[in-house]
Amino acid sequence: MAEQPVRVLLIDDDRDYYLLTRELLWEIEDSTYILDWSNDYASGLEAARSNAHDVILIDYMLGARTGIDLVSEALASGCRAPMVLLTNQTDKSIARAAVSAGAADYLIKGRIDAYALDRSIRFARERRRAEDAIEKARTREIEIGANIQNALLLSEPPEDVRGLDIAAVSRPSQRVDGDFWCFARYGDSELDVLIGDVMGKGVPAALFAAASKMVFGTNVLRLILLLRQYARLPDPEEIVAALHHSMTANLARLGSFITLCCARFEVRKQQITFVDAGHMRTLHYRPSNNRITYLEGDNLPIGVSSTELYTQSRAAFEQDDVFVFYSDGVTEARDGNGAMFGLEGLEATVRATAHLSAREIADSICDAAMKHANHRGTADDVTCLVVRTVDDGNEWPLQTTSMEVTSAPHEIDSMRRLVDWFCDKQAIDPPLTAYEKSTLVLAVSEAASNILHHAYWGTRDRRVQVTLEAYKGEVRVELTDWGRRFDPNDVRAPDFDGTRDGGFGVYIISQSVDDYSYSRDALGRNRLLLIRRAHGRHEAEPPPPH
Amino acid sequence: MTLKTRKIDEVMIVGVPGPNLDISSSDAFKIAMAPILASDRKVVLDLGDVEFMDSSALGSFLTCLRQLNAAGGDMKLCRMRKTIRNLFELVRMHRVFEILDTADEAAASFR
Repeated sequence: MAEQPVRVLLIDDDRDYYLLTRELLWEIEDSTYILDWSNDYASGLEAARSNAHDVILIDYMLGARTGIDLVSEALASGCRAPMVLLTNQTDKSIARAAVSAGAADYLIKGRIDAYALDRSIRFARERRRAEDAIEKARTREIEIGANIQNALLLSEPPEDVRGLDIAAVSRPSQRVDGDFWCFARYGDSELDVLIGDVMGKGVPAALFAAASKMVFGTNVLRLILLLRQYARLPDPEEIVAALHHSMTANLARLGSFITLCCARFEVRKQQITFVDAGHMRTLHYRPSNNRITYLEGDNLPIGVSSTELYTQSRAAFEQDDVFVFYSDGVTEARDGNGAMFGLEGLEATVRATAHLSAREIADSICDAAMKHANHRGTADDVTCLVVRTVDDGNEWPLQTTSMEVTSAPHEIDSMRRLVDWFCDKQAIDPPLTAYEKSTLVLAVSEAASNILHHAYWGTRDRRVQVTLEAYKGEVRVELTDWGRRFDPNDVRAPDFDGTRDGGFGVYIISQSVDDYSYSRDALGRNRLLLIRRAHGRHEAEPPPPH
Repeated sequence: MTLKTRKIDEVMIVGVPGPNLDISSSDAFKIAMAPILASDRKVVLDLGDVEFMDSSALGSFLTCLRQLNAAGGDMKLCRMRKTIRNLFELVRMHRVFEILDTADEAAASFR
């Protein structure tokens, strides 16, 4: 197959040299060249920018300016073709300046023959092809890394941990980092946060970070099962030790390590328990006394020493405190003079935004760090995770009880009896009246029937969980199942004229409780919450008008 | 499910077994009612033993009523507890069923 003709642009104010070059290119037998000519700097730059050529030959002397200026300017404005500088002089410094400005090669005018020109053009083009291939591979790696990062490393924080407002934000750098975070929940008000950074960049670091998350999750699960017989949760130091044990051999083989912080928030105890394994120290701001402290331990990163004993520390928190976990990309963001954003920048941002939501604080921190770096892009990912301890407006239940039954119809009576028994708890004071209690029992019964019918389609060996919570003057019942999605809000209103046998259940529920809400949770469960308050009512309100 | 029945004149009084009539028993109730619906036109359900009823039980009552109505008969209810009365009023079924205090009153109402 014949080679494609090679389009060459010559930028030279000497017409004779254009003619000479054309002669030389004609002489070359096994390639076809098409030569365009620009005879001054401005038109040459214009032509170079159009990216219509495979190679550009540029004369060093271009009126008041030089070919080296043109090389720089053409590159800066997006010229992709390799450029070869032509000079009359044998001065090595010009040659060096040309190459460092981005020229692919340089030729001495008086010594050019057809062979040398052909060779230079071929090499310049070959080199550009190789550079393009590398660039493409690099872009691809960034894409893969970014996909790993989005899909695996940066999971969304849980939204419904009582008393905690959590947000995580990451602004990616030029290359993928090994930053990752993950969460483990225990009950409704206990949460583990693991934030880590695998040393290194690119796909290997991202893959290691993904593996760390997976190992963390698996270990937490294994430890929970192991410690179940002692009726306690694994401690953060045990979780980190297990992670360390699982990963150290592989990390050592690859010469990498992981810095991390594993912190458990226990909202009811107002206590944080953490292991600091060489990660950026977690910031703890207390608005009530305007003080900032850092959660600090002295453990080595994971993967450094197989004999490391990981030890946890504790700190107390109060409502409205702010915790900031962050990557070195935040504090090490540099401005034009090389000055870092630093802890000063971080602390100032936290103090100024601590009254806002966790999401707003996290965004503000990342924005401030990026702004400090003048948005030029940072060397490392700018990542931060903010946990704010909040009053979610919910009181803690005074008493709770729960039960699991199979999805068999006769079990509904067990649920009714449990609700009936629970409604007489002292803690509810003021108590529900007999009438109010009977309506809640009815609502629970109807909701359970719906689960059996619509979520489980009559299968009798599945599970239904019921949890009861007593509050002052209020009982909450939550029914949970693993069945098909069944949202009572999708059910149409019943007929009240006796022409239809069914369809009353949801209407009865809605009329028998003060409030109810349905959700499909993160584990794929149907959750129906029923709330009945004590109003001292002894009989039904008059039925609504027909 | 076995239903205790007695007659007051030509009215069939059916004692609905308690204490719960819900999704676990409403189908059995319908089956037990079938022979009565086939042989009688005037039926009274005595709910004296029923402490709890849900919407599926209500649905089974409606099925029985419609069957009797179609054959030119009727079904009435008696001895209903307050909590169950609340359920009927909630879904307006007190307008569909005639509800009386005692079996005798219910039987008399057919005359």
